[in-house]
Amino acid sequence: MTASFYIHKESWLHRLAAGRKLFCLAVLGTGISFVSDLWLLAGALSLCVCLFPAAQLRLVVAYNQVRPLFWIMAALFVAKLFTGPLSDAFVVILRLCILVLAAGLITVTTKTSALLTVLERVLTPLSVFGFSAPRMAFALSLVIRFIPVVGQISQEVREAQQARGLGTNIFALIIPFVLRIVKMAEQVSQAIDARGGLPDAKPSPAVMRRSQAVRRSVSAPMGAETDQPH
Amino acid sequence: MNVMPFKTIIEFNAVGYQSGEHEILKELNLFMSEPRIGIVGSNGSGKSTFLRLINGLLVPTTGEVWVDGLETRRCAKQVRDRISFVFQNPDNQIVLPTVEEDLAFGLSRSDLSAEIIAKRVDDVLERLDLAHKRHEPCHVLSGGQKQLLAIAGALVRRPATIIFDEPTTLLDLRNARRIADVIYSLEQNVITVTHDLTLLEGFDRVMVMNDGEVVADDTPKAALSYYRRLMS
Ligand SMILES: Nc1ncnc2c1ncn2[C@@H]1O[C@H](COP(=O)(O)OP(=O)(O)OP(=O)(O)O)[C@@H](O)[C@H]1O
Ligand SMILES: [Mg+2]
Repeated sequence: MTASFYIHKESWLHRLAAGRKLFCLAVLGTGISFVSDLWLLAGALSLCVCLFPAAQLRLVVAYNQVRPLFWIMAALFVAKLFTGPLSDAFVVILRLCILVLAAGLITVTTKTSALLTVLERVLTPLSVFGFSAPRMAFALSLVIRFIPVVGQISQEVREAQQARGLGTNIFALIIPFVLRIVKMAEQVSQAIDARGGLPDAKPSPAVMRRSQAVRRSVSAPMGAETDQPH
Repeated sequence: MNVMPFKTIIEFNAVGYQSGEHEILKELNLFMSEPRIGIVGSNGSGKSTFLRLINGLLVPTTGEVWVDGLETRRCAKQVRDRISFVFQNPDNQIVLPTVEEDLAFGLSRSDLSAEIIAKRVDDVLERLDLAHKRHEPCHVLSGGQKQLLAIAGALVRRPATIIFDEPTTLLDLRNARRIADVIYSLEQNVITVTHDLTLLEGFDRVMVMNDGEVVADDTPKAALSYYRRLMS
């Protein structure tokens, strides 16, 4: 299981603002869907690969991004062979690899919290429909945090039941697993309360400051900056 | 969230807690203001329930809990700004993927600026020797480091009091000592439930719980010897 997605290094790609990186990804994604020149796509792919060492990451990190998709790509390639020329099959695979590598590059060079702040900003207009962007973003980060924890619980349950000789009994595995997850969820929710509660429906401080800055620049200056604890 | 004056007064007025038919806590009347208070008792005697009543994670079914003049039922948010909670299993209270992000979470709903939040996170990482782990994913930390991170998450909010529910139960001897040292070094008031009786020797007050009641409430020496007799 991948540890966490972010790998800390001091590179310019790590420092680049999350919003810009996601914007580039969107442009790249749209761009390559119009390109079907094999050489151009191969060039874009090499560029993506080269960006990994440029971000002080080993090439194996790039390889790890595409490896889980290997069989899917193989199947796609074969399917494409039946419906068109060989070059089309290559185009599809190249496009997919480029996207996966570029997206992977962003996830390993950007902190979850930075990505979520961007997501929050993008989702904020939805608040007119009563949709809370900060909560949505928080829910996603909880999922990322607890994927390895849930994996560990499932392994512990499996080992415990194997030790009792019940390793193949599906109920003996599922019931304790579900019970532990439910108990954990209850405790996590208490811990969130104890640590100040859920992010509320209002935008995060970063988004607030940005919109305040915008407001300030359009309206008259509003006096002293108030950035102190209350 | 300002730095709290490090003194909290907690009052239990005829507090009872029931779950269905089951009476978990029975009519407690208490006044707590000592810097370090320990609680011991057998499994299921109601210790964790007692702690959760203090910071309003649970509200009493009868009676009232007051913290510095705030009633926990009506002012849970303010009470929790004064009193932080460290749970037994740190895995359940670390909520964001990396160390630094998780610490900042506890301040993300305050009105503090990003710079002040970053400064506070730095301070607490430094203080608990976690600075070199700041960018690590939380789940690769050792058990001891996770518990330190959980404590850091409580400290970063600058509460007046920190509650611990069996902070050393899941740890080996060395890490348990480390956590004990951290607890003794806190300028905050501390209320802790533990089965580690040596931890309580330097405390100001120890309460023994049994079957939903406080059956002894004394100096550590007297209370612990009562507890040892009770358990034998
Ligand atoms: N949510 C709940 N619903 C029903 N009963 C509960 C609930 N939580 C706790 N209890 C019961 O209340 C009693 C006291 O529980 P509590 O967790 O406070 O005990 P404890 O002293 O902390 O025990 P331990 O030493 O095992 O942690 C137990 O009998 C438990 O089964
Ligand atoms: Mg307990």
